[in-house]
Amino acid sequence: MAKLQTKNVKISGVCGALPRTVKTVYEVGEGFFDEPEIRKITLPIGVGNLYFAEEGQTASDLCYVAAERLIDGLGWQREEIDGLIFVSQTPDYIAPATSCLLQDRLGLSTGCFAFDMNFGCSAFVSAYFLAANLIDTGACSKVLLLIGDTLRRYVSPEDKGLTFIISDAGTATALERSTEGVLSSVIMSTDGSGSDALIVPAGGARMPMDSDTGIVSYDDDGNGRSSEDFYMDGMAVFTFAVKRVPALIDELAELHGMDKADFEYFLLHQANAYMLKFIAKRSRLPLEKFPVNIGRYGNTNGSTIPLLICDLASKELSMPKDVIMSGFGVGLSWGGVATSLGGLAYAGIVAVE
Amino acid sequence: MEEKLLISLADILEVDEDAVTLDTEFKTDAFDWDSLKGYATLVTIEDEFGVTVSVDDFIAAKTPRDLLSLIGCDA
Repeated sequence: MAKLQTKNVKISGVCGALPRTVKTVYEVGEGFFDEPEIRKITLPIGVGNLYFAEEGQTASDLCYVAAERLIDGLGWQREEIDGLIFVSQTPDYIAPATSCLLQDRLGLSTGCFAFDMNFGCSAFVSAYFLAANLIDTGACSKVLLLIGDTLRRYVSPEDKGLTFIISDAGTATALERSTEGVLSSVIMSTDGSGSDALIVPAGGARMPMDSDTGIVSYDDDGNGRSSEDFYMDGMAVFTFAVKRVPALIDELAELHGMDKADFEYFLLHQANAYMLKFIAKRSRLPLEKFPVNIGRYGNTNGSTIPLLICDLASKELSMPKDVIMSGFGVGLSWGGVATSLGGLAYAGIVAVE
Repeated sequence: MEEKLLISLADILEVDEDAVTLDTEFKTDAFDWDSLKGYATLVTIEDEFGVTVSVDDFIAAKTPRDLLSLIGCDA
């Protein structure tokens, strides 16, 4: 099992960046679905607003704004930052890695190790796992996790399973070496046999875009999408999440040496509100320990956990909190981090002009 | 077995336990039935009763009594 335990790492700060354009689910569905249908679809998933990147605005643009604000907010010296991980499914280019562009744009030193990772809903925990390893071994001392996506561009407006869920955002999370002795426990898992459950089939090397890949076809439920659009097998993803995540919570609590009932919060990827409730019930944990903010921001893919931390911190910044954070989705990939969020020196959400 | 299924279904449908009987047609707007509740029901049947029900059979089922029949426990 891929796992890590360390007392040498802490999260120092988190910043979220949201694009300027925000739409209600009714605005998003206008022209494709009528109001009663939109209400019926969105009530259980709990979504109210969705964010849309501007034309030409990329995930790295959003992450850049979040990182600038975070670096200033923490008072970090740019030359001290020796690790930058950009996690996205919507990079600026096929090559080079977007993290290299961000290293330069942010004015970080050439002594910074910058690399990209391709993860979605599990982006935060995956990047945390790697960054914590880099810091724990002494390879790096201050690492930025820049996680963001502009997935709206890959969502068909006629796909009711995705168009009322997916939202654009970028985030920056600061991890650094710590002598405070805060324990972090991390477990990561993969099941590529479910790779077709969440996929954009066309546009990569396996299925290059051509004149046919953009043709929209309709499934039995009337959802229209092309091979260039994001696809989700709702049942496969739901089943995966509600089975894997409660088991992960149990494993992680045991590794961390705590009773799961003693954790104060479970910060889960905001897939949809009904699924989160079902996971809480199956874990036999109280619903109020599972904060839900999908109503405000939608499902921002890898950014959901950083945005949850920002919302939580805006209320309870100075209080030490034992939390389990868990991301799960495209890959299929899932994992979790058990730690305490007591040491945050900065948290905030900024609107990108 | 019947009671266990009815309690689980009420939980999935987010209604009081006495709102669901063996002959309640639960896949209706009255219960805000949607695909998420369908997935939740299939997962619950598999976990609680150790039976994997096919999606087609599940779609054909209208009442908890029909589900019990699929589980192999006629009521």
